[in-house]
Amino acid sequence: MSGSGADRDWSAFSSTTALEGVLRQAHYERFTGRLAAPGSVGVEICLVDGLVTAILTPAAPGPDSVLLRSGRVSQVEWSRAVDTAGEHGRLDETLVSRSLVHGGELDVVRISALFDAMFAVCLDAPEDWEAQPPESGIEPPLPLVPGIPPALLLTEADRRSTTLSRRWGSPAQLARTRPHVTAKATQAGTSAIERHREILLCANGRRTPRDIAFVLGRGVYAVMTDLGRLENRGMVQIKEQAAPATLPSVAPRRIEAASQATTVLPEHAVPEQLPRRVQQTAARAEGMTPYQGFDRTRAGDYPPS
Amino acid sequence: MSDLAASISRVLDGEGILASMLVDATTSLVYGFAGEGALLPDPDESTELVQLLVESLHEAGGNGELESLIVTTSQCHYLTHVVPRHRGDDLLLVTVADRARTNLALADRAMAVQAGSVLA
Amino acid sequence: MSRQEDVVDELRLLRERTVGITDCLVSTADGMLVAADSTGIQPESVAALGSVALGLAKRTAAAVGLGSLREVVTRCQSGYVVVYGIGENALLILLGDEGLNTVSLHAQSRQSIEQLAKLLDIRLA
Repeated sequence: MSGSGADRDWSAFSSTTALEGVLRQAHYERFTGRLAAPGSVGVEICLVDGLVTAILTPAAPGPDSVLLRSGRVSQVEWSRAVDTAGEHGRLDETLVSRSLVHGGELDVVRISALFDAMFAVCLDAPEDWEAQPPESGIEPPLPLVPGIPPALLLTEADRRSTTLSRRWGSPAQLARTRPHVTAKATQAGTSAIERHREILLCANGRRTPRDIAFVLGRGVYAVMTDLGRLENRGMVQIKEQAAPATLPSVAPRRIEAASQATTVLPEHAVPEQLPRRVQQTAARAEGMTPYQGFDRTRAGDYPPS
Repeated sequence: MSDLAASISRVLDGEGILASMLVDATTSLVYGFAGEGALLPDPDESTELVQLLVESLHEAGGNGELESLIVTTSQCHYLTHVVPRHRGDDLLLVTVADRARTNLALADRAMAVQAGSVLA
Repeated sequence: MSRQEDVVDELRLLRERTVGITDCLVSTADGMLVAADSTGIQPESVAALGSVALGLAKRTAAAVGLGSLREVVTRCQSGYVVVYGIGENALLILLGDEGLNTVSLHAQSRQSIEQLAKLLDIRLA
């Protein structure tokens, strides 16, 4: 079975977007620092040694949000743990040593949040990226170190988009909807599993799937998947959202098609140096990443013929 | 090796266990696996099957939560156990066992124990 | 549409185009609710608290001589409360979740404040 997939063939991607190009280069150069999208709304991809350790984005709840909003860790316990861990301490170790979260559970939460954030970013990926030193922004509260190879995150984001497209329709469109619970859902005799009941309580016609994810402390993709199922059962109506009447003044800048060639790396070419001010780390971090890629294409028939 | 990777590897300690994976029951993301990956079922199909069962059970008025599911073929047992979590979306521990070398009852019991401790 | 509805509409537009905003309201400078686009909160209470927060912040800004006040941001573990003045007579109060990006929020809010000022016949400095 293949290992982590860190050296996966990048030509597997159907198109090379600016994000894919810049991540490929960052991985190749074992970049440590942040990739920020200056024209866009606070998106930052944190890397250590070319592996993604955290993604900060308004589009998906981070692992800290998930732990707090889902109720796994209380606000009080969290504050105390943050204080104990200190500014550059290991919050993850503090959470585990105080028995607030098990180590394996914390890994699952971090891995899940990372994949979810990449999926959310890819729904409307910025075109302009800039490399910044690691200390240039807010410290991510629960980075996953060693990180996950960017190729795995992108492949999974792709898979999720494809699955959603097949089952529901355009994921980007679904992200803009504000679903609301239907009359059928509240009828006597109609019931839903608890996970779905929680979504029904949140689906008030104001909240997008991302908003619901924040309220519940769940992933955006997980919420979207559940919304699709609920719509199939007639318990939720997913309203298409028209573009807002006033155009946002800080919409992500879009590069014109003609100039895209200059920002997109040709496949298989040796990447040029990213313009940046940070020193490259010479050696990749020791130890195995908690996450090992699973090659779905090689999974067997179920059940086998 | 991380706690999670180590926990999943321990599943292979059982007699006749060929492979195992920890999958998110909603997103079908594979958090980790051990053993012969090619023998594992497609994660999407595994989660889809469980989801259908859970919803059907619920609609049929079944009480309680799904704990495990076993599919037996001529060669293998596919054991799926729901990993108990304090909060958070369900995870599934999906294990493939060689039918010729495994006592199903014991394997099922062992997997239940493993599912209970995989997130420790 | 009545002016009240126009104000609510502008609040809704601000909320819908800014990721992370959950509720918006406008109040008078002394904390009386004018209009709200909200759910699950008590807008009258929030309006009153918002005016107290802004008033205190303005006095603080004046006392320390660091220029005029721009906004008050109350940052909580799971979200934000942001209060802006609309001229001298009204306030815009926003509630957001922890995914709110305050940098882009300020740009979006400026737009809305101008629009709201027109709707409420308030002169901005």
